[in-house]
Amino acid sequence: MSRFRNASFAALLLTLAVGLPACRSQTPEEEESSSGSENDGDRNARRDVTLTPENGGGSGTCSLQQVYFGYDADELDSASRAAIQQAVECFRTQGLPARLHLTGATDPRGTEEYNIALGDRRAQAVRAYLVSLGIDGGRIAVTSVGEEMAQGSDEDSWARDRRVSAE
Amino acid sequence: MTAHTPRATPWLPSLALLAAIAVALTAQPSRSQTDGDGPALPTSVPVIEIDAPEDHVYHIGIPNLLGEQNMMGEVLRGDFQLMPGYRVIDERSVRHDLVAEGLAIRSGAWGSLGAQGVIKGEVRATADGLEVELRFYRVARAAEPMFTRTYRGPATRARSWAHDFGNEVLRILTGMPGSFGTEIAYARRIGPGRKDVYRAQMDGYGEHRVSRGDGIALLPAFGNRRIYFTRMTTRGMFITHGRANDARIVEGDGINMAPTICDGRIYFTSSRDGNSEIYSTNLDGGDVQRLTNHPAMDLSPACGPNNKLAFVSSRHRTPQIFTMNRDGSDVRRVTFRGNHNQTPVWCQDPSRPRIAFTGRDGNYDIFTVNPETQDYVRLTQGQGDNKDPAFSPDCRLVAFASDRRGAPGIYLSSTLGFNQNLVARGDAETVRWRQWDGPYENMSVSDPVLDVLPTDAADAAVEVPTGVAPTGSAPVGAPTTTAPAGSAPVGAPSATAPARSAP
Repeated sequence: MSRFRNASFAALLLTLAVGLPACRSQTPEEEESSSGSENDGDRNARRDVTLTPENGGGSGTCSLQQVYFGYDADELDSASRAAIQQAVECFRTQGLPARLHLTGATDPRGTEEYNIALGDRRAQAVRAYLVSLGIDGGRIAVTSVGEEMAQGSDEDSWARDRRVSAE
Repeated sequence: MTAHTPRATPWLPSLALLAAIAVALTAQPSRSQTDGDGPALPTSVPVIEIDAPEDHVYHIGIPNLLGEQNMMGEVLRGDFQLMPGYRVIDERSVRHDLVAEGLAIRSGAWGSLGAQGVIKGEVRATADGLEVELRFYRVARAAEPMFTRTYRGPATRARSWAHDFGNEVLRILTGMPGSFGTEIAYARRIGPGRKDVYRAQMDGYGEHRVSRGDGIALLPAFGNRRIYFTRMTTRGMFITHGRANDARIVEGDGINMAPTICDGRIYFTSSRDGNSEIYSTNLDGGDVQRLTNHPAMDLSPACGPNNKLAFVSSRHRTPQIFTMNRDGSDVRRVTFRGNHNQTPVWCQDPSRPRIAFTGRDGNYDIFTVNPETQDYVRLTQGQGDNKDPAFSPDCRLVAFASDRRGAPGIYLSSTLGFNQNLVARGDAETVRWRQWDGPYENMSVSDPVLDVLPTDAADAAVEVPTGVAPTGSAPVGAPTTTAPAGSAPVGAPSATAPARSAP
C-alpha cells in the first residue's frame, strides 16, 4: 500500500503559490512584498516523496496548495494572506472540502525536533487565518513534517522547503 | 628487564601546549550574535583534560585473555579507549612472556611500560559454555589482584562480561562504575520519506532496527524497558514503541512527538490544543496532563534529577533552555547565552548539575551548562553540524550526531569535547542513551543495564547472569567471589565468541 499520492492528484488542485521572501529574515512583522508567482512545476514533480493525507479533501476544484515562510519564521506575509483569501473565496463558491489537511514543513537546517514544532506553528498560523476568514476550524486538521521532506541545499531551494501545503 | 621512563608521558605536555596555541590562534568572535539575547556561546573548546582519575591519564594494560584469540580483550580495550583519561597499553607494547606470566602480573615489567593498572584474564571451556576469570591489578601492589570476578555461562555472554568487568574496574578506580555495554538509540535516514529507529550498544556493536521499516520513525526514547519513538504518517503523528506494532499510544491533532520517559510517565510535545506545549501521560496513553501554557513554542521535554524537566521555549523570542517541575510549576530559564539553544538533556547525577544542548553559532554545536552556576562548556567546533547530545548514565561521555565531512554519524566525546570517537557511521541523528534504572546512588551495573542487551531470541533464551555485582560501594582491595553459575545447557562450548562486527 502506497502512503504517497502520485503527482496527478496534486496537479488537479488549484495551486496558489506565493512569492518567496528574499532574505533570511527573523523579524516577525516584516512584510515581504510578493516577488511574483513561483513556477511550481518542479515542486509538483517531487510530490511522490511527500507525505500527504490519504483522505484529503481533493474533490473540490479549489484548494490552498502552498504558502511560504521566511527563515525560522511562522508569520504570514501579505502575499500568503492574499493567497489564502483567494482560496477562501473559491471555497465559498465551490464548497469547502469535508476536511482540509494542512501540513507545515521547514528547510533542513536546525534540529529535527525544533523543525517539527516550527512546521506545526506555520500550519497553525494558516489555520488561524482560515478561521478568521470564517472557515470552520473543526474541519481543518494540522500536522507537520518538519525537515523530513526538505530537499533544499541553498537559499533558493531552502525557501521552497519552508511552506504549508494543504489538501 | 631494564627500567624505562613511561613512554607516553614526555610528549603529553608539549601536546597540550600545541593544542593551546592552536586554539589561541583560531579563536574568533561569535558569528551569529544577531538579536541581542545576551553573550555569545563559548567560542572555543577547552584545552586541558581534567576528567581523569587523579587528574592525569591513567595507563592500563589490557592484553588478550589467556585461552582465547582476542575477543574479550578487544572489547575491554575498546571500552577504555572510548573513556577519556585512560590510555590502553596492549600487547604490542609488551616485551615479556605473557603466557609465562599467567594470571599474575610482573610489576617491574608492566611498570616499565608505564602501566598503573593491568587487566588479566583466562577463558576456559566448560560443559555448558565458558568460564572466564578476570583480574584487575594495580601495578604498585601487584602481589595480589585488587579485584577478581569469575563469569560462567554461554559464550554469547562473553561480551557482556567484558563490559561488566570494565565497569567494575572504573568503580574501583573512581568510586563510580562505568557505562560500558549500555545502549544507545537513534534514527537513521534511509531515504526521502523513510527513517527508522535503531538501537545499539554504546560502542556501536549489535546495531539493529527497532521500528517497522516503513515510513518515518524518529525521536526515540528509552523507558519502561522499551524504546518509544515518534511516527510521522499520512494519518497524523503519534508515539508508539518497538513492541507495539505501531499502536497509537499517544495521539491527537497536530504534532505528538519526542517522548521522554521518567518514573513511569511519558512527557511529550503536542499541539493538540493549537500550540506546541509540553504534556505528560501514563505509559498507556491515559491521564493526559498539560504542563505548559504559553503562546510561544514549548517543546523537547527531558527528564532530570530531583523531579525536574528541562525543555525548550521561545517565550523570550528565541528558543532557549528552561527547567520546570514535572507538574509544570517553577519554570526557570537556564540558558542566557546564544540565540538558538535546543534539545536539552540532563546528567542524571543529582550531585553534578549539568545540561547538554545544541546551540547555534553559525553551525550547530554541542554545549553544556551548569544550570546553577551558568558555567558553559563547548564540546564541538568547526566540524559541520553537531546536534542532539545525550549523556552516558555515568555522565563521563556525551554522545551526539554529527554530519562532519567524510565521517558523519554518532560520536562519543568526553564532557569537555576530547576523545571524539565515531561509533555509528552514516546518516544517523537524535541519539538517546539508556540511563540506569532506579535512584542514581543505587546504581548497579550488571543487572539493570546488561539484562536487556541480548539482541535476539536465541541469546535471550540462554541468558544466565553469573557475575553478581556488588551494589553500592565495592570493598576496594577485597577480591570478590562470584556466585555459582546457574546451569543452562547451550551449544558446543567454544572459546571463540562471535567476532566484533561494528556496523
